[in-house]
Amino acid sequence: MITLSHVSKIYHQGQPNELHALRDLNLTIDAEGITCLRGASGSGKTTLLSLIGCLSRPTSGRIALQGQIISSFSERFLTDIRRHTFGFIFQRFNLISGLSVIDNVMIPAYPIAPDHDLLYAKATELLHHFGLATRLHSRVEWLSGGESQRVAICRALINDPTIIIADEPTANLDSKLTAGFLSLMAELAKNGKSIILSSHDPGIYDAQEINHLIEMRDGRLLSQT
Amino acid sequence: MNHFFSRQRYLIDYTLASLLRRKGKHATLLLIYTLVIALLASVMLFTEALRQESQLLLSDAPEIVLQRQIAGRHALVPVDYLEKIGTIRGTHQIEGRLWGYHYDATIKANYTVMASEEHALTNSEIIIGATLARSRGVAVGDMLSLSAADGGTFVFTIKALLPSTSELVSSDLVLMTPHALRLTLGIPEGFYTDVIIAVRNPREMQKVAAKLIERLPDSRPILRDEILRTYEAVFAWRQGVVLLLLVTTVLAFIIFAWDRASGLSAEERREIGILKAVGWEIGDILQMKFWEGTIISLSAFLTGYLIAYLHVFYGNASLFAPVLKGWATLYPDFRLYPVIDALQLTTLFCFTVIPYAVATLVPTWRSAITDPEEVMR
Amino acid sequence: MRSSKPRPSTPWLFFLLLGISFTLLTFADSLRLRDAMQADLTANRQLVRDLALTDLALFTDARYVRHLSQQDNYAAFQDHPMALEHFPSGSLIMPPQLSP
Ligand SMILES: Nc1ncnc2c1ncn2[C@@H]1O[C@H](COP(=O)(O)OP(=O)(O)OP(=O)(O)O)[C@@H](O)[C@H]1O
Ligand SMILES: [Mg+2]
Repeated sequence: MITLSHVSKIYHQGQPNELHALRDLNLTIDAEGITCLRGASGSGKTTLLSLIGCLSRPTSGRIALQGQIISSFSERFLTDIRRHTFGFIFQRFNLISGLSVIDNVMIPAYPIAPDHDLLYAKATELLHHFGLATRLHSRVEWLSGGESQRVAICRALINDPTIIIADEPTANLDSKLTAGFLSLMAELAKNGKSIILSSHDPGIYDAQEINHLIEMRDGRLLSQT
Repeated sequence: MNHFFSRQRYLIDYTLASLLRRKGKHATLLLIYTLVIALLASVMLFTEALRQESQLLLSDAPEIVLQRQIAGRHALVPVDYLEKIGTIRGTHQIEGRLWGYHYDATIKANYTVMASEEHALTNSEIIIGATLARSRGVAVGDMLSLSAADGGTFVFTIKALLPSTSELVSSDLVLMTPHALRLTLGIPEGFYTDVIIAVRNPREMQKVAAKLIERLPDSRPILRDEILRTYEAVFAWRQGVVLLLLVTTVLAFIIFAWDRASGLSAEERREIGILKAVGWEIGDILQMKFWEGTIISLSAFLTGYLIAYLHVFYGNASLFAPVLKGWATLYPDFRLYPVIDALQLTTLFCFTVIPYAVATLVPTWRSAITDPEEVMR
Repeated sequence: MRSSKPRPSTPWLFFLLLGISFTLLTFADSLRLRDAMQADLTANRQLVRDLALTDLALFTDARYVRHLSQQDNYAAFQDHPMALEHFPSGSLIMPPQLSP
């Protein structure tokens, strides 16, 4: 359901520091389950995820999402797709510091402007579900790494996305928290969400929860299972 | 429409939460901003009130005041001028005025001494302004001694005070009989300080003034229109001090805007990136930043204006008194006649609220159009 | 479930509403104050007429600011409205607006 054909991404094109992050990539990612991108540092995982998640555009090639060619969409449409289709979990969590946990979770929904009580209830429910019931009004910079990440997951889920994109979500966590994260993802996958994540942690890409594995090297696809 | 409002409300929620992160900084900013606006608005309200009141009061000033000038200075007018003026067509009710200044060394104040035949005074009675009475610490029935032109001292009985509601025009007045005035100020018989002339047809004022100069070349007529225009200019808030204040404020805003425009902090840029990544549009971010500027400037404007209103019309503009008072020892206690000019208020709004809102918007515009991909790094 | 914490926009919007209402109220209040001063104003106009007054008694520190409209053509203050002035009040006010 996500199809990439001949996708390249070149940074600083035409300049002396030109850099080919992705080279002529052809790839289809299935809807079902958890997909893991694996590859050495600098192999282009983050670049690929940001292309899929409509955070940036390819230099050339086409990206199709459920049959729509999103690589040709205007910025406005891209935001709209990003808002309704994707939930992001970043390596550095990227919570907005100074704000409370619940505010951080609700922020992606602000421009959609749902009823406040409903939104608040939904955010509270999510946070309860992820074991953060007591931290609703704490400021996010006071949270531990594991808690921060669960807040980030709640934020990714608030707009009911169909696809969750997570770039090295466990790089800042220990192995126990990593296992916990994976089981949360597996649960989400069971509830019908597609999850695409990247990692160079064997605890992730060798785990049994992973349904598909994509291996990358130097901006090229190495193997796909 | 409903969606629009609830979206704006969410953006306000976000903006307030993010402003509250740096409470101290923003509270200080708000405070300074409020004070600047309170000051500007006070000047505006004060000058406008004085302008209106001076126009109302002085619309009853003499139509023409005729001075005589010798060596470029105001000189006494001989009585025969009155007859000469009487022969000019269109003039009517020609009256010589007797008045002058008297320096009182006890309280280091200058009085304006005027002759008055209205109040049935005897030669040893005076009527004085309420401000003067307060400064000298005298009341009705008390004695007030004034030094005379010939070196002697006259002792007057205070017959009455001018009403304290009239201090704006009467603060330093000393009214006495013409005879007492001539002795006190040393104006010889046969001379007046100046002459006031009423004109039959107000439209002929200029013509009469021209004839006066023709007939009496050393005279200088001052028309009521000129008096009104003089006061109009003194209190026109677009002029003088207010203009200076406004220019200073605008300059401060330009410096501020420049500072903002020269770039957001890395932290702010990152925050914008995160918002974009989680699904905010450029428009959402710009509107949020617009609210950031508007919340501060609008709050400051409303508070500042209300403070100014209370200060000027309920606190008697007490902060300005020392400035207006200058070196004078007599300062009238008066209630301002409150007139609010909606146009001025709008101008003040445009000069203060809008530049700030724009200043917060400009740098955001630049960073909001960058790729949100940055936050993945 | 009801929000347990009030939204920050609630107090601010309330403040905004209050501020705008009070701002509008000042217009009404100024009318009221003006009405209350009407009698004094009439009396003062009468005084101006009776005594043939030409100026406000706001500044009493110098001849040319006390009788602003009656001063000599060459009084110190008239050099320039922004000129440095001996008396503070002189620097606050504009020169007389005489016909040419
Ligand atoms: N904005 C950019 N400008 C220039 N080069 C970039 C930019 N972003 C990424 N790159 C380069 O593109 C290449 C691929 O980067 P990418 O972040 O996709 O790798 P990655 O597989 O995610 O690596 P890691 O596992 O270390 O996160 C790297 O060599 C990186 O230096
Ligand atoms: Mg990466």
